[in-house]
Amino acid sequence: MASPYSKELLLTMYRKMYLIRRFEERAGQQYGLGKIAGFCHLYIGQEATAVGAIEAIRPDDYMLSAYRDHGQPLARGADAGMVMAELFGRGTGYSKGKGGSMHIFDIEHHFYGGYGIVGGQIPLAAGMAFASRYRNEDRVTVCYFGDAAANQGAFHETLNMASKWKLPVIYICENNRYGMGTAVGRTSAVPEMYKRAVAYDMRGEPVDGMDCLKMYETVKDAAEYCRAGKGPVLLEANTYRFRGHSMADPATYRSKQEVEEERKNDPIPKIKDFALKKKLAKEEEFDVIDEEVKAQVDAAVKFADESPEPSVEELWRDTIVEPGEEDVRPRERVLGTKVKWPSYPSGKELKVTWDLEPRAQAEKEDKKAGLAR
Amino acid sequence: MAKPIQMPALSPTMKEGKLVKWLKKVGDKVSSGDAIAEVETDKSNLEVEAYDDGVLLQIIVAEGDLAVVGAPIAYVGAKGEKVEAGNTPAAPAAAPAKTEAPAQPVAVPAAPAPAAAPASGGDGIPVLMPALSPTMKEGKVVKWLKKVGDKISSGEAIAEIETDKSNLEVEAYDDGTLAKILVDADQLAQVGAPIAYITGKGGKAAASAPAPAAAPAPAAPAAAPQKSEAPAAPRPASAEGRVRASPLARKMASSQGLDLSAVHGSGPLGRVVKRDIEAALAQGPSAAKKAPEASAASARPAAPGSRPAPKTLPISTMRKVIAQRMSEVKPGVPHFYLTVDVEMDAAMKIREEAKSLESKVSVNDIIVKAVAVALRRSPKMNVSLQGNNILQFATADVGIAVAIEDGLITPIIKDADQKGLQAISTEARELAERARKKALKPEEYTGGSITVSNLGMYGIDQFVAVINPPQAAIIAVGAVADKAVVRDGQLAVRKILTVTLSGDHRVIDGATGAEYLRELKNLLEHPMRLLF
Amino acid sequence: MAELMYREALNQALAEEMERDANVFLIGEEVGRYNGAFKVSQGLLDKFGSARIIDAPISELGFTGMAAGAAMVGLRPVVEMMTWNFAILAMDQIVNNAAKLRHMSGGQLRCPIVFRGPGGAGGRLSSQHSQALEANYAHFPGLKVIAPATPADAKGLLKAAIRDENPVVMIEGERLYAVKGEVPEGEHVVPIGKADVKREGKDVSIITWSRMYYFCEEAAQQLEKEGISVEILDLRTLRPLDEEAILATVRKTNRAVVVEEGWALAGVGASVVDIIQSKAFDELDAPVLRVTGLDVNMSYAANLENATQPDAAKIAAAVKKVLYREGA
Repeated sequence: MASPYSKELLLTMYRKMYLIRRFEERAGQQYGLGKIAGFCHLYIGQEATAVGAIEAIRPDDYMLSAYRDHGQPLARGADAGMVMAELFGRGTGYSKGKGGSMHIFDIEHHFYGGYGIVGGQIPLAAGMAFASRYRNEDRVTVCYFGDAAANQGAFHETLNMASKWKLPVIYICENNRYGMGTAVGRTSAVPEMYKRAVAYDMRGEPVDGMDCLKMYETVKDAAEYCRAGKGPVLLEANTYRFRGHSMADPATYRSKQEVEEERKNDPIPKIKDFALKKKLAKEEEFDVIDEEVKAQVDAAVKFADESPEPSVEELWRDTIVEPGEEDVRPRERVLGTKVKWPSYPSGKELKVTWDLEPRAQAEKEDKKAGLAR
Repeated sequence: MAKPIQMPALSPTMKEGKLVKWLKKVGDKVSSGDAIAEVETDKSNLEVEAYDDGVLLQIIVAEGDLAVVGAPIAYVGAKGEKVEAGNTPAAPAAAPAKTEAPAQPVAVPAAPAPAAAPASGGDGIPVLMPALSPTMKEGKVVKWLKKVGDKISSGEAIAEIETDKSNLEVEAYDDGTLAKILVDADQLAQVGAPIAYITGKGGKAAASAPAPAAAPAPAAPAAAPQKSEAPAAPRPASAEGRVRASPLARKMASSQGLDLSAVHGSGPLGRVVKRDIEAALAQGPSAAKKAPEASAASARPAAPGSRPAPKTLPISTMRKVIAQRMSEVKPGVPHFYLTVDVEMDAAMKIREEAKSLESKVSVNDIIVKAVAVALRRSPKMNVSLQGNNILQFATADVGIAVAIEDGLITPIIKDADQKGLQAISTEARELAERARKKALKPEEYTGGSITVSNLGMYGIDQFVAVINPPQAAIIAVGAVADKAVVRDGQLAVRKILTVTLSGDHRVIDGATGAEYLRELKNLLEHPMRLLF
Repeated sequence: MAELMYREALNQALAEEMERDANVFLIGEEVGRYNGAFKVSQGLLDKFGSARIIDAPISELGFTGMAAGAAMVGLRPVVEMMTWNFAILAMDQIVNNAAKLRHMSGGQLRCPIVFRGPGGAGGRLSSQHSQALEANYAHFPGLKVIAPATPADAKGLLKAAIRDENPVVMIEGERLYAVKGEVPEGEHVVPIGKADVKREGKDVSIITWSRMYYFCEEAAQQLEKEGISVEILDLRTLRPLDEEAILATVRKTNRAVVVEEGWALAGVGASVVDIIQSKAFDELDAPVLRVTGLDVNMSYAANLENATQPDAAKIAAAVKKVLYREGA
């Protein structure tokens, strides 16, 4: 049976997932060597949820995430060395070393950041989607958050608005079964997060987050639905992290056996086996990718390690936007690369002609109630 | 090339780790991401993973041993590869220097706490503030006779305490070392509260040492109470004689070369402020002369800009108890009264002298002058109780009670001790006149050290006056009348004036008042002495 | 110059800026069909439509965060808080997101957004509805905080806030909406960060902002009859503080009283006093005093409510104290 997927797509997915895996392993190693500090949450095991979704949407669609946020920007095209430099707290990092592991931002690739307050990014995503609707663009916003964030007020408040106003936003709840050290069922009356969409009359469904192709299919469909103006989508990607919550977590709350069992479900060999079985690629091609990625990540570590710390004067920048100050374009600043930067229509050229609450309908309601406005 | 696996920092505080168990043995194949060993950190046990594919070539750190973060614990490389000494990495900068004490890894038992320093004031045997008199509620530590670290034997005096009656020594009841002083010299403690701790012989906390929670005297808080009846903390020695001035006034004075201590301060507690500097400058250079000592009766320039500020004195424990107990018996201002007869024959001659100078001086003017000079010579009388402080005035300002239509008012003659009778007379008349017109400014009838109330013109022989707070005394003056007195065994007629002092017993005692009245009597009976 | 109410001045600023820039929209509870809980957005729904005047559900954290997200990608939202008491629910979005986006992204993002609504005592509303919360927000780098006292400043500062490239917290006086004053028509922008000498005087400076300015003015008029000449500095902006103006007025009068509606502990006034004592110590002829709301929760009973807040008498007493005229 022929594959519905091109070789190029499969190899891209493999490369991106392996890049994340290798990058995160090295990040863990460098943490152990004291080069990276603070909180450092690794994405190992969850690569498919990012890569499958990213291949299914357009490069100019908006995306944002929580604090387990190294994977998405890498898959969207961020420079691995500059992400690593951010983890090292160096001036060549995406945020000049001001954000660290939990706050990776790559606006050039429409990745609007990692956020450290559980659930805090959920309303932001709705606002970005609102802006697309406001300007009559067919962009979607993809927002990642963890299973535990689905118990935050921000989740519920935002889903209600997103659904009521039909905002083009795809919420991907990465259910890796533990909110830090607490199994999701211990704190959730309804542990199947996708079911919560029902309460807000919006589309919600589960998806196998350990399968890159299933993620790809589901998000592709959800994006079309959003672009058609049908409203938001809540996806529950069932996934698993092979490591602790963060580098400091020995993960004693789950059994070795459970982890071993889940490791058999590793999304990276899975896509490789699929491609081999479909005879779309040879073992050697994967070996080449492996070597390239290893070299890329080694170079990233070297780049980060050799980069200087930010200058102390940097303290006084980027808290307040000074009059006339331009936005910083990281790859231009660090590598000298000319980049395409997002731009927005000015308030003079923009015409807002749509209604959030159609006037005719409001008037009809008033009339029915015998109200004169 | 063989690569080292280094001891990772698995928590932000980890400095070294203990190798609990090797999960792989030499010769085993390892892949990146494989767990190869289990390490115990200061927080928990974690697995160390390999970051390279290959074979475990060599184990450096055996199970049960510690390794500093960053040190190699094993080598991974190609099968059969040799580990070269050359590729042992230098310990990374983050690894602590060997001389540093590790952050107490779990494996190492905690060292015993050093003996010299008890963990808190709570260990050892407390020395309690004793009740040294039946009425004593709290005591002030006057001085410590021993210092922390001194050996103490039972029965030895370790501190001197001021009670409401006297100063007494506190003795230790235990042998040991003075471990901690809780109440420093000049500080107060409630009876029964711990003032120090003694540790047992050999510096160890005595086995019988009570826990701090089990402090004795449950009703007694250790610290001086913060309530309004608490005495003011004594002012530090450096504040003695310090001139209070606003920052601006200081700046102005220094730029004008003005001696601040010679400038009268009109602000709170005599603070010199901008307007005082301006007034002093308007007086000309004489204003910057240094003020004399409060006790010296030498002439001072009568310029208003050069009046010395009052001094704030701490209240002694005894004074406090007296004030408390007197107020219990006589709430409000507890008055006491002293009466004395004064022969005014000599003083009346002054009036004759004045007439020859075509000036008018009343008996009252003479009394005002004498009251002020006597006050100068009895600084203990020249006080006022203000909250938790005794204010000791450096000037002798005498109020004169003036009856007006619907009451009375007491304008003040400032520096009455410095002024001549003529000046006092003129000023008193002028003030009384404006008082009747209700044209006095507040600063003309507030403050003052003492008041003279004279009902002589109404033919009153003697009476008792009520103190005009916040002053501490008032002098009630009757009429000067010829009376028969016995002199040298003979009846004689003398001009007699009866003077009654009412004193505020919280700040003045009978003896102080009596001495003052003796001085006043002397001055009036021998008016020449007013010139000294 | 027209005489307008404070609320009308705000309405004018909103309408003018929305005309000028289609990226500006207003979101909040009751801003649309109800015409605003305090009538600030009166008539704007009819003028601009429901995509730009948005009736939000009662989800303060939700719609505040949503507006911040829209600002991240080029819109210029104005978020109306029905009152700042309710905005405490949204503090996470204001403080942890809006105030930190520029920083976390290392200068890649900006968040031009205005959070506005009434603050301070509303009048007989008890403790949950009567808080002056300026200090909460003035504490955070990354925010600007404004609190206008007069209709003219309300208009000019709101226009400046909408045009500013940073998140601006605007605390309006709940009791000021009906206050009238001369307001310049059209382009009238008051720069953020500039205080205003509302009354010239030579004996003492009162430093204040928002509703308290009116009590200070009342006190100044009483004191003038007693021969005391009071200068009143209206800060208008609480972050960043106009240090220059604060120091200038203190250098002129050598005395200061700082008046604020909120609580004393960690209040904005404490920072004003600190600026004075650290940078103008030698200019002081008296301690700097503060008049603040009492350190208690606000009561419903009229007499208790009045006693809790600063008033002209308390301000006048403080002024006399720094002039060493107490009891005078």
